Amino acid sequence: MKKYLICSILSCVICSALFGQSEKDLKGVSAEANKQKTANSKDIFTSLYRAGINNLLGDDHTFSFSSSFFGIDSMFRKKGSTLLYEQERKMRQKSFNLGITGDTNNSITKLSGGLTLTLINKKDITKRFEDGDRKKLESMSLLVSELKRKIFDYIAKHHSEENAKDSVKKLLHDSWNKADKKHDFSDVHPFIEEALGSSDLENEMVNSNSINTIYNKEEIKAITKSYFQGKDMLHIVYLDIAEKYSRKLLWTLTPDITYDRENKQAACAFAMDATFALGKNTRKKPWEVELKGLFKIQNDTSIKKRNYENKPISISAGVNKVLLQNEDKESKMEFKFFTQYEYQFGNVPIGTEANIFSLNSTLRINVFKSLWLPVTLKYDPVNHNFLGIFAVTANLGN
Amino acid sequence: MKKITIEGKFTGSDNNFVVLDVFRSNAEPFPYDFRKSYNGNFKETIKDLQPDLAYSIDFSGFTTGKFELKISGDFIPPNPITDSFEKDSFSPGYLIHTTK
Repeated sequence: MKKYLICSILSCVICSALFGQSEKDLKGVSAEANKQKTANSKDIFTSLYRAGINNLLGDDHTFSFSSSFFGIDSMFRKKGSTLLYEQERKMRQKSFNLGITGDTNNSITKLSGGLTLTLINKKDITKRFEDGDRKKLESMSLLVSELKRKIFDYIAKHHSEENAKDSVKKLLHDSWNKADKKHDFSDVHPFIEEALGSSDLENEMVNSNSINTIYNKEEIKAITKSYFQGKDMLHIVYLDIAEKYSRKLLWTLTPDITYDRENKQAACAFAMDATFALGKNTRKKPWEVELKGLFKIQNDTSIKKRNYENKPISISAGVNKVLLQNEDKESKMEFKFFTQYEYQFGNVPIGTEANIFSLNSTLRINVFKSLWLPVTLKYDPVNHNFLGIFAVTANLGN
Repeated sequence: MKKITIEGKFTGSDNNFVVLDVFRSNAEPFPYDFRKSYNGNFKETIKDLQPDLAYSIDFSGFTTGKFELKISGDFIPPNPITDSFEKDSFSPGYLIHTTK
């Protein structure tokens, strides 16, 4: 068992390194907004790649791999070539899923394939923002543009001798660009710092007529001060808006077919997943609501001949919360609590119930880069049974 | 007069915006002031720059896709100047010095 566990985790680490590298090479995604997605929502839909091994401690282990059509296209697309936005978006909204199930003798017992289609994806930040959000970002961009001009005017007036040299001007630009890349203006060139802290610049910004902005004088004053305190206000507004969209609804449909090699027959499943977050305070990680439905038509193993008498449906509802995050607001540990109701439409084997209600919790721990260890505890309150499911997943996309 | 061309290309998103600023401070000889904003791809040619002078070329904006910029024309190397930003806000500035 240990050997299997180690091999499974290693395969995920290798997948993580392999596809993670491809992603970096091909897309170079900075993906600030992506950092705010939870591992739970990435499990529902991946826009690049996802690999996982389920039920590590059980008798059957399933290795699964999912990729969006965009992820696969990225791997084979010529470097430097680009896609039209609509084409790219369509490919990001669909993914395919492959699975292999093995038994304790390491024989392949099942092969599966399916598609995940997004019915509604309001989390997609590439889709046009609401007008109010666009206006906020555009106004802030105009303010920053004006602020930079005023800073350089201030330096030209107060340090005219140094400012006459191209080398000094270049240093000033390099200093600003470095801070802009880091989104941290706390360590800028002393001339820029002096300009940002001057009351003249603040007054000029407040009384400037050359900017068409939604911000009032008090807000402009506060924004100017924020840059002096090292804050990148344009980036803060950008992240707030990205966070707002990351809380919206994602609803997917997944039809899936599995071929059982032992019983030589197919089984099919239809899954629906929906997730959205509660709470408007973008500074706090929200509670994420998750609703799931799954209907399967498969064989009843108690009947020896080929059959489709096993027809379970399960419905679950739960909430997921980020418990730990790093300085970049990336989730590192999550806890999910959910209830599940299962009903058997087909044959009910002797000694089992047609209805099962269970209470469940999943603790997801990020162990290395994109590698997660989700541990699920399932409790049947009627029969007082506990069941533990241990898995390993690697979400390799944005 | 010297000529420069500034190009901006957005891909992968509907949320794109940039303010282009070409300027030389009022406190310096031959001040210059050009500002325009764009919601998509653009190509701007500026033909009235003085020879042998430094100008700042600034971009402030955001994209949830990718933004690539290119500055070329009558200025001393490095020429052309290129840069790109992905899923981010940005406000970089570049100094050019026109040829004699």
